Amino acid sequence: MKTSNQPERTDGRATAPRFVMSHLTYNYRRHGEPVINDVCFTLSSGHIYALLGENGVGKTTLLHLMSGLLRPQQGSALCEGERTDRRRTETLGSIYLLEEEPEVPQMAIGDYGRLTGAFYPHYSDAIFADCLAAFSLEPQQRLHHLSMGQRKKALIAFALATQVRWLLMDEPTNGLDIPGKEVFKQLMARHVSDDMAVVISTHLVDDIEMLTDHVLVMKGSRLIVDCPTDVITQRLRFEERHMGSAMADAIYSQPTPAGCLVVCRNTTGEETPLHLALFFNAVITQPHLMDDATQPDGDANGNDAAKS
Amino acid sequence: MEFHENAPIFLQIADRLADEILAGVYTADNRIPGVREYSCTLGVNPNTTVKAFEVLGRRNILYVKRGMGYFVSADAIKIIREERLNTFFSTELPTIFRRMALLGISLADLDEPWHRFTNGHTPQG
Amino acid sequence: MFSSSFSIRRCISLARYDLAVRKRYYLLSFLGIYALLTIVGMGCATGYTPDGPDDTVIINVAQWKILYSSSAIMILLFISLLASCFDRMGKQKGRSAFLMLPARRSEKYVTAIVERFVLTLAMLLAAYVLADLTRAVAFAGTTYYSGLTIDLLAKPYLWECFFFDTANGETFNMLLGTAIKMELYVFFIMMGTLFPRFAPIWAWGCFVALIILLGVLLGTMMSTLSVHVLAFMTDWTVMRWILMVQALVAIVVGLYASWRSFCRVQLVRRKLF
Repeated sequence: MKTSNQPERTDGRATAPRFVMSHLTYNYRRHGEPVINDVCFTLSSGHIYALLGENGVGKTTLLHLMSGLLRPQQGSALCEGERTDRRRTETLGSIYLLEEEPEVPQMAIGDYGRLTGAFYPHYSDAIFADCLAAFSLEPQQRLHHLSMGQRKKALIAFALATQVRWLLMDEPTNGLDIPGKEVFKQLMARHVSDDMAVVISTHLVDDIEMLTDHVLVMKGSRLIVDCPTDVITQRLRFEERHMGSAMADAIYSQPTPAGCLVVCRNTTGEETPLHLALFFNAVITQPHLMDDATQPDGDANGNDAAKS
Repeated sequence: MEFHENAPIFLQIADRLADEILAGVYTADNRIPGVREYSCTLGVNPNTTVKAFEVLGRRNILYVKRGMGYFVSADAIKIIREERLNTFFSTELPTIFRRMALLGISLADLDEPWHRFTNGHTPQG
Repeated sequence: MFSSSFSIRRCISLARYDLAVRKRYYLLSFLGIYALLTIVGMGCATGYTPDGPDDTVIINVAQWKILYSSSAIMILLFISLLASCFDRMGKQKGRSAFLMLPARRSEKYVTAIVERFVLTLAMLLAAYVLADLTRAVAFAGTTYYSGLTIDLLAKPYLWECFFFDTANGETFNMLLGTAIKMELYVFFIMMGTLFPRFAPIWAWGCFVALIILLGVLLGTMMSTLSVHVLAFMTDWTVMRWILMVQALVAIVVGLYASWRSFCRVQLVRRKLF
């Protein structure tokens, strides 16, 4: 267990750092439907969030809004009380966004780590070296000579080495080779401290199924699911049934060679493992499935975060 | 994460089709979906589906009409039931018996749970 | 080092980062400038043979021509390199990476300008000297003029003449003419940053102004006549002041233009101010 790196705010009571998105709205064009419409959710450190959604729904846009690269037309993204679009140095130093197709300068990996890591207060050279070794990369290799998959590995290593409190990753495992995906999981387990929060936006749910403990699903321009994985498994069961079994309680089903996969309400109290792909398909066809479980915009004490 | 059974995929598909026949989805002397269609539904390689259909053909659950596809045999349901009974008695039951022996459970101990089960549930196909 | 106030250490980190990233770009720029100056210099040198041995002019005509054309080009390049400070920002992803670096906006801007300024000056001077030496080597033993740098180094009083030559106001006249044409170029850059929506128009304007400027300069070099035409401005004291003011204006405009372009790249995709 790693100890906290950042001091906690002391305003009467110890407050855990939060990243609050309230009523975020963004449109690329002047007219028409906004890509992101009234999206509210809160991130707290110590969790790994999975951000899921169909192609083109706006996951990358949401990550850009969160990191302050885009300015929302309405609403705000407040990182520990500061708007991210003001791009203050402290805020920038506590967020790191790993893009889907990262742009790399023409230099050696080691130099990149040294030169760019100098800007991040908690950057750790040891972690960077450890991650590079795990990915079988050498510090002398030049970034622009690497394939896209290798570049991603190098930047994942860097992202973890920055030890920023809010780590945003856009499709980190897309393009990684098979051993690389395993290494990714291991590195996440090893280097993501309790003080950090990670948001992974991805379609490759299999790679992150075991890592996440909180699921965010976007559909249309809204967030339809925002709840921890325990809550999902408390309410829903994911089973494989043979053809001809009773299907009256099935909320959603999809065929498999052995029979079919089924999502049904958990009435027995016994939980099944969370089948993230199946859950996603179910919730996309029935967007209101987890409406009552989706967390309201506010903290545990019931204060409206939009006011802060 | 996929639910992985121990049986090869083509046998799983064969069992699946047998389940459907038992459930009445496909009736005697009627055509079952073609290889491509069934593969599409399941998202598997058509060669795997062909193997499954051939297995069922060898067990006389299905028969082929040249140029028209696979059809359900007249006594398919009987054959399937018989096969499953055989599997139960030759494979599943010994496993249960072995566990009972290990845990020291006798047949008499099964009476009450059996009665509870039959009273509470309707038998499934 | 992690305070939110302006930090020199962070500026240095930014400079180091920028240098490492753009090493190749600077090297290629240097080579390009060197090539340009050498070619132009050689062209000027071959256009004239030196005046007779009793030439009372301290710097002869050919030397002047080379100096004029070189300094004109250098001023042009200087302004254009300064204003294109953030050309890396053309691509969306290049912008994001730069934007997300934790540093104050002012730090990023100041570092970029200062680094560019210093490097560009250094590059220009080094390229000029190198071009001069190349010309000296290429024309060694011929009657064509060669080796101004060596000359100037050998005769230190020539530096004084270059800047304060009372007998030859022509130097300043030439630079004045250059400055006027250069402002046209800067004007288009300024327009481009203020009204980026019409960027293609401004870009073409810049390009055309540049062509005219270079063309006129080179044409002027090839014609002794033009030198005399510009010599009508004999009151060199006033001219010198006008020139300095214009140079200052050009620099201020260039800085402003670069600031506006910097502010613009702070906004990814959507212009809000």
